[in-house]
Amino acid sequence: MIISPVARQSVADAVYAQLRDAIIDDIQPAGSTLPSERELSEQASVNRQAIREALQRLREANLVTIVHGGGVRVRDWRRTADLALLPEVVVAADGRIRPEPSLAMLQLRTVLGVDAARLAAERITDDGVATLRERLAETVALHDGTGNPSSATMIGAYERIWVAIVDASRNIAYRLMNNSFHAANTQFARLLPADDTARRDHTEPYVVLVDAIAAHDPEAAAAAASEALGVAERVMTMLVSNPG
Amino acid sequence: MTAASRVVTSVSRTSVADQLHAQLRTAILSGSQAPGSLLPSERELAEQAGVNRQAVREALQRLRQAGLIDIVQGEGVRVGNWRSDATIAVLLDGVFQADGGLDPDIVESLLRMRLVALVDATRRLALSHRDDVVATLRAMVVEMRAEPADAPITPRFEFWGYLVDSCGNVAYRLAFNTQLGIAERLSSEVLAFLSAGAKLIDEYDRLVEAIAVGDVDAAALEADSILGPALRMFEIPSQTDVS
Repeated sequence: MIISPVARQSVADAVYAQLRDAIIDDIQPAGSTLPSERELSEQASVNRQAIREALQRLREANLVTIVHGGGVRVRDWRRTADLALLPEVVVAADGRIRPEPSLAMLQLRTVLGVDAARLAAERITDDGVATLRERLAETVALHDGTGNPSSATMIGAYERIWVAIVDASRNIAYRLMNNSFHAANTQFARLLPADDTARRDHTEPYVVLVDAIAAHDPEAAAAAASEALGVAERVMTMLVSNPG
Repeated sequence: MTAASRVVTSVSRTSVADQLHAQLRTAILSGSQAPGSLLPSERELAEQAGVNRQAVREALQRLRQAGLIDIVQGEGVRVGNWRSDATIAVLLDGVFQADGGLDPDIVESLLRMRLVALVDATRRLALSHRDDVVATLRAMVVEMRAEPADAPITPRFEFWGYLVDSCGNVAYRLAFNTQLGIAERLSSEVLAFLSAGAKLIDEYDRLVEAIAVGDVDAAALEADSILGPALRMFEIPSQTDVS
């Protein structure tokens, strides 16, 4: 068997992703009307139930309004969509990374990360400190080890440090935003060179950051977080702006 | 059917999928449906709630989209670990408790995110030196001054929305929309309570003038003075305060 059964849901997902990207890229601009259910079903060669489900998802994401009588009107997503859409705005279904939203997201990540570090320094428990030190040690070991870890592995290690920080901050909005950043970071990892020689420099601000949080020093933690995320923001800005 | 296995109660005909979705979401966010546990089957849920299977399917799809459940072919519907998998969308609903009140921890975390994002948007705008933007913001402050003293307290979304749009960061705009989405569902009394600082018109004035001269730190300080009071009402005491 060369293919596995396609769940009805993944068909609806695929239709949703195509329509969503057409809306985000302004191919279907705000105020325009989508083709009818029947037309969409013919164009995509899928049944109408899958189209209906995809349209419901677009409606829930505030990307369209379904007008009485069956027409589907595209909304101005910049005005109506919320943060849940951010990872999908940053990365299209075909893996294409949209530069401007990526930079916007990286800026948001930096300010939220700096504040999470500040809060963590105020609120972290002894258990939290132990977890954070463990994550840092794992990351440093990856750097210094002989394993030559991939960029994706290293990004994953830094992200685990951030999970420990946002957990310690006890800010559930930051915790959930971190999940969104993770989705985009996974895609950004593809842009990094396989052999990232500047990598070693990246761990130093994290050592300072973890020490500051453990010492319950919010200002030092904020400064170190700004340094750590600033490096990442600059690298990503360069890569996203000049892919390849 | 035993009481223990009953997860949802019967709901009225209107927007049945919405109501079922809300019940299941509350069960998951409150932990009464633990991460890793299986939800009753589509058929069982339909029977418990007294709704058709299409409504159940729709409610489940919405939970899946928000990262609250996994639909596993052949196995059923498994409750995910929402803290690690869900998107920020769950907080829009999670902010409301079952009795309609607000969850103070979630309100605090959202107000904090609002403060941080808007203060940074203010900083970026102060760096940009745009005379047209300053003129519009000044006109808004003039309007604030013209309000009678007993005018209702509002979140001044027009001011902040314009400020966020002008800084040109789409992530900040989506964060702002998230805030609008929650505010839409609050009573005007609660909204006024969360808008402490709205009457600090001198601070608004100084904020705009700091942007006008490109004084980034002064602009950020004024934004913090305006947006901070609402947050302080909900803030969790720090470790040192507790002991």
